[in-house]
Amino acid sequence: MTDPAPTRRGFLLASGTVALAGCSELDAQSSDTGEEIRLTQLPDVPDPDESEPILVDDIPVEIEDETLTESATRVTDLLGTLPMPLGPEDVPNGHVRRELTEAAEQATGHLDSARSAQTRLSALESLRRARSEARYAAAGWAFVDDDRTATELQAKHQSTVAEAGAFRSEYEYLGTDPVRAVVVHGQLRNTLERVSSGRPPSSYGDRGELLTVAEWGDHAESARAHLEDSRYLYDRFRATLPSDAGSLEATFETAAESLIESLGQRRDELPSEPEEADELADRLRYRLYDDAESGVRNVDDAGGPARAVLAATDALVGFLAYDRLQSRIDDGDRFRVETGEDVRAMRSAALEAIRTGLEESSRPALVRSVLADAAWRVLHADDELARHHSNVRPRGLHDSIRRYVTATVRAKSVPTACEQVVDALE
Amino acid sequence: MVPPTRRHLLQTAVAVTAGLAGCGQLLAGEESSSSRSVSDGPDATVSGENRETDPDIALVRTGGDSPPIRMPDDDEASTGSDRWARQSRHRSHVIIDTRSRAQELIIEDIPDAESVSSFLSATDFEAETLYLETISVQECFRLELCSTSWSTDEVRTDYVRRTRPYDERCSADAKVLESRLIRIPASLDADEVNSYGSSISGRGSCHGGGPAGTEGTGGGSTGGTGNATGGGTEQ
Repeated sequence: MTDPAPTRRGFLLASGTVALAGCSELDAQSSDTGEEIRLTQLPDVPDPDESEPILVDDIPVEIEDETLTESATRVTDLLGTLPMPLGPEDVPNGHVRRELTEAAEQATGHLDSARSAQTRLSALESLRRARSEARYAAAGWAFVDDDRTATELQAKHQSTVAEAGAFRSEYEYLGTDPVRAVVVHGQLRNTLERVSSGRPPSSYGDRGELLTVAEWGDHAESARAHLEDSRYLYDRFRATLPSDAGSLEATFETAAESLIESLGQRRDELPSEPEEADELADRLRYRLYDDAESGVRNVDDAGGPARAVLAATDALVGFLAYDRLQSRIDDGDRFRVETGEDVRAMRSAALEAIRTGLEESSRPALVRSVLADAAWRVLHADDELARHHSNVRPRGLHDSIRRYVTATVRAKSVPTACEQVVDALE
Repeated sequence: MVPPTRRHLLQTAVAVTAGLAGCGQLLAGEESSSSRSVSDGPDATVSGENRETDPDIALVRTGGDSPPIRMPDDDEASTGSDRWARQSRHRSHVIIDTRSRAQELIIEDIPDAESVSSFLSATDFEAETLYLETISVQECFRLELCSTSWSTDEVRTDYVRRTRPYDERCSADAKVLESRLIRIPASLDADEVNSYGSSISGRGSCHGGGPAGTEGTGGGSTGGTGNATGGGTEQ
């Protein structure tokens, strides 16, 4: 893990944007009487276009170079069918032409993201997105160049959905190590479930015939990529298991039931729902209370025992984080910031909690996705900070602080939650 | 961080544009309304509902700065540079309740101008009223009038925005003006009507969701002597 490169603040300073100091801050409110915090004192966060979370998700399965290369080749092959740059002679409607061009650019962007991805799993995910965008553009162009129809693509999509159904029906939760297996099967099933929908693409409004074909191309490619990746991960995982490895489905179900019971008790012990008030501490308490409650619902709706265990892990973190926040409030913490140093300290605490959360967990793979989520919260908080181009009153920083604090208390709760889930699985 | 995808942007468009309410400009993918006095919300009809889902219309579409069908007193506003004038170029509405007032209309010099004149001539002002509405729309889209509703003091229109066929040349950044004469089967008094409202939905069909993206030229608002000319700002 590395800190994101601090670039944006330096750029603002170099470009003289600080000359705007004293202008009214967009987030500042008249009721906020706190002293302004100087822009130069705020944490030097990366530019939103270049920022990356300090930790991303992974899966304990070795993803081969060849697989990533094949996906990347699929993307370049699809993009290769386009007569780029598209011009008015190719697609006269400028709006439609722009949609195809932007999809091709997005595909290239995802391809670049895959090349610089922190983990092979995130590379695989970026390549899926690249395939979808590239197919969108290619299918749209094929409508012009090759009379491609939505019906053909709908049939391909339906075929993929049927294959995914067959895969699910023969699926076995094989494994020897329940912790490793639950992570693999949970993530794998999350990927596979993305294929299950037979619904049409969620296009918004009248897109015209060409873009409808493009949407179906995207939809068909996305389903195919999710199915292929699910099958690949399943086969790769199985290949690492001894030939006598049995099903752990019953183990997962028992663990999920035990965790659901525990979560139910915790939910029953929650105090009455706090009211969302103006003060940041109250807003935080309200949000984390809501997170804890909704976490239990996510377990109920998880679909499958492995996914239920992973959802329960996240829900446990939610309850522990709420307890941790409440303790800090009881100790008098109001999460107020008066100086840039206060903000920097909160951000550093969140990043440190994510690092130590991984190090101090007995089975890091089990909780990596929870910590990756915390890392995204920090990233969003950074993006909020990056919006400020001048001095800011403390209230204008509330969204960022809320995210830093939430990431901190969640990440600090991870090792304890990890222990509980490991106990339930063993 | 990876930039948001095109469809992500589309999905969030409603939330984003909601924040623009009151800016006085119609945006596709949202419901918007404007009125001189209080108007009902999106998709609402006027009180004491009179509603026509397939009204007779005459449509002229151009890429110029002035509405292709307009009253002479609109000329001053449309050539001005203040905020009111700019807004008038994006949308305007006029009640035409007499033949003499109809004869004052300025119609852009286009090939189909004669059919607009025929539409005016065919209107029975004893029993009917014309409602002239001009709306700015991106050149690569067109509006389809779903319905008009009215009372003695209010007129309202509801549209959907549709993507023009891929093989019709247009610029993604250009805007055109669509002027519609809508024949209301009732005798309204221009002096009594003091409230106007309109909505534009991006959902693609006048009647609920519909098959998103089916391209076609039919629809409720192309009846009558309706006609559409290509925009004048093609590239």
